[in-house]
Amino acid sequence: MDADVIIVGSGAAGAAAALGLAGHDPLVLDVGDEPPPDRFAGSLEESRRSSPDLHDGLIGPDLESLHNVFFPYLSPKLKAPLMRFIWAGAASLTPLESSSFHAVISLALGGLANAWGAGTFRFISEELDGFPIGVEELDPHYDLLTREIGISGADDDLRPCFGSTRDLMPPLRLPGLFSGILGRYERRNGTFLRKGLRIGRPRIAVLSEARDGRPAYGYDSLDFFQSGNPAIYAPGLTIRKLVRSGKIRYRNRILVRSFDEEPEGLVVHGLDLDSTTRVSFRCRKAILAAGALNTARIVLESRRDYRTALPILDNAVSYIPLLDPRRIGVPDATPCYPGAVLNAIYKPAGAPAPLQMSLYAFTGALRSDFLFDFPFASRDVLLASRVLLPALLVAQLFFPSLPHPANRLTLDETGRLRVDFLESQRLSVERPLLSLYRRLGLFGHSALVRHLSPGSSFHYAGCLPMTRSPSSPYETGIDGKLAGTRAVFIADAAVFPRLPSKNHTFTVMANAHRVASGIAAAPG
Amino acid sequence: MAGASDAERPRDESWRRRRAEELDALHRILFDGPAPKPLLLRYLEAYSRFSALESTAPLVDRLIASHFDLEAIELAARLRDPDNPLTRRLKVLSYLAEARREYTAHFYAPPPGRLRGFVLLCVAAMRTAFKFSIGAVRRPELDGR
Repeated sequence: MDADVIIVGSGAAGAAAALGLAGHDPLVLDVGDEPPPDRFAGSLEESRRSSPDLHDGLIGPDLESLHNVFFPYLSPKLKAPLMRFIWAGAASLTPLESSSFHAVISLALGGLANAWGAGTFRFISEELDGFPIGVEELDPHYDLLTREIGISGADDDLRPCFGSTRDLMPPLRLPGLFSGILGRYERRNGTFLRKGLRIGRPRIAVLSEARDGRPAYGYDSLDFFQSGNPAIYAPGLTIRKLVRSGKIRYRNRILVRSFDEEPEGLVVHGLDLDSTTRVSFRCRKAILAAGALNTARIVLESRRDYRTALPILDNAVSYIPLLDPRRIGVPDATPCYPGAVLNAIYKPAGAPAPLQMSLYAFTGALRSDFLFDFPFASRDVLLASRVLLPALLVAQLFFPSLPHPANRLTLDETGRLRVDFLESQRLSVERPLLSLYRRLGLFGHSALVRHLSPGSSFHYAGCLPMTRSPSSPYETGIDGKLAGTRAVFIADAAVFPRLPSKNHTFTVMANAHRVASGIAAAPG
Repeated sequence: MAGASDAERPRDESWRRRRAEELDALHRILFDGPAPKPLLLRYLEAYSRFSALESTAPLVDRLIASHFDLEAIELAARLRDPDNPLTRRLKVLSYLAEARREYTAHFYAPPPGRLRGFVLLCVAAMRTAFKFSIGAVRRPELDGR
């Protein structure tokens, strides 16, 4: 027996599961691609002062940053040369084919969370509608993870939407553009609350104070160019900490492909990427936490099932650019976290579900990423950006995702996932939202709203939905056990029966910790 | 090589000279003066890496040789198709320049203040409208017509 419990994957779910089984000697199997060496000396500003050319770090030896000039859109973070390790190896090892779904799969240590915005939000009761578990089952795990990873936020009008403020660190600094918006909202919040709009500080896994040997966030402007800032939580931090303390074992360069159940337990099969030989590991129980898409792949391959279509969920995403004319040309020396600076929840009367928005500044990315989106002559785009950027923000709006028969995933005999996804499920909310934002002094236009293609949210889920009484071999029970198995548990977002608008990562972690803790507490 | 396309012919001095002229023309649009040599070397790397540049080089060569207002044509083209050959080249130049310290002031100069900002924006808007009026007439040149 190689381990009592094997955990497959080291992303948000895998790390949380490992934490739940810490001390029980679980073995984490992972491909575990790691980042290249840092190329910056200090902050971005310090690096610019000390080096005449930051080409390798910002643009890349293979001109990686120019990706979006010639190829289909890739998130500005993911196209950065030092961030390509997050996804570059996955295309050949875990192929996915689709004309309608542009997924990004990660085989890196820590998964896609190496490039996340660190939004960590508890689901509230109405967001767990349709789940066979409730807030009471998740709260203890949310609490533990809040203390473990460090989350900053505030007790404000978003509290009813974001849940407990226990153990929150103070929020990060607020630049003038956003303090103005928040101030105007707070002065008239009664009006906005009656219209269903709430605005407040986000909950983000970024340290505003030093903790446990990790420094406070230093606003080094490198978040879009390299991972590994210790002030920003990443699952790799948990994995490395647990390995150093001897509480888990970690084996990388292993691509898990399938499992077989035996009378005494399981055999997990994989490929050793270094020797390119097949390897097998014996265990009593296995937790699949490879991300919804790869977990589905492993389950289908284990059953040699190349016909069944599994459901797949993904939040539709819209970007709404907004302008505050008061801030045009106004300098602001306050540094800005390049992720969500404010959050907004919109739920007008009669709406079926709340919609969550993250409000971002146009900081963080290279200016060249968006310069030519300004409708000015080329000579003037640099001037326009200089004058307008202090006044510009974008509201990133996520829509809930419910199962739809047209949205499905299959596996073929070559090991390739195929995804069909019908672009839909957007509600017509931009116009009433723009009207509300105008009352806050923010101006936009529905013609400028941009809808991203399916797969762009990176919130993949729903392939093996959790249910109280599984009736299909592709459902999971409340304890995370995959139906039709004795000892295979699913701990990632594959188990979510639906996706609310809210970022699901923290709930993925809480549920993974819950599943793993249940295994740890089980007799024997 | 007889019958070979631009992509197939060796990149001789004539090709490099045309690329240098191209980069200088684009550099004068975004910044002032010709491009420094290190930037030209990076630009040539981009040509090696992205075939879409090489395949549209003859068209851009003709536009430059014709002395049309490239900025005006690019603006009119960009508002219709952001992936047109001129805009792509300007984007390449912009990325390469942004990584270099001598261009920091172009990309990261502090905002000019509210009043001056509004004035500068108005001037930029008028200039853009003027450029567009020129470019709309010449934009078909970018389609090779």
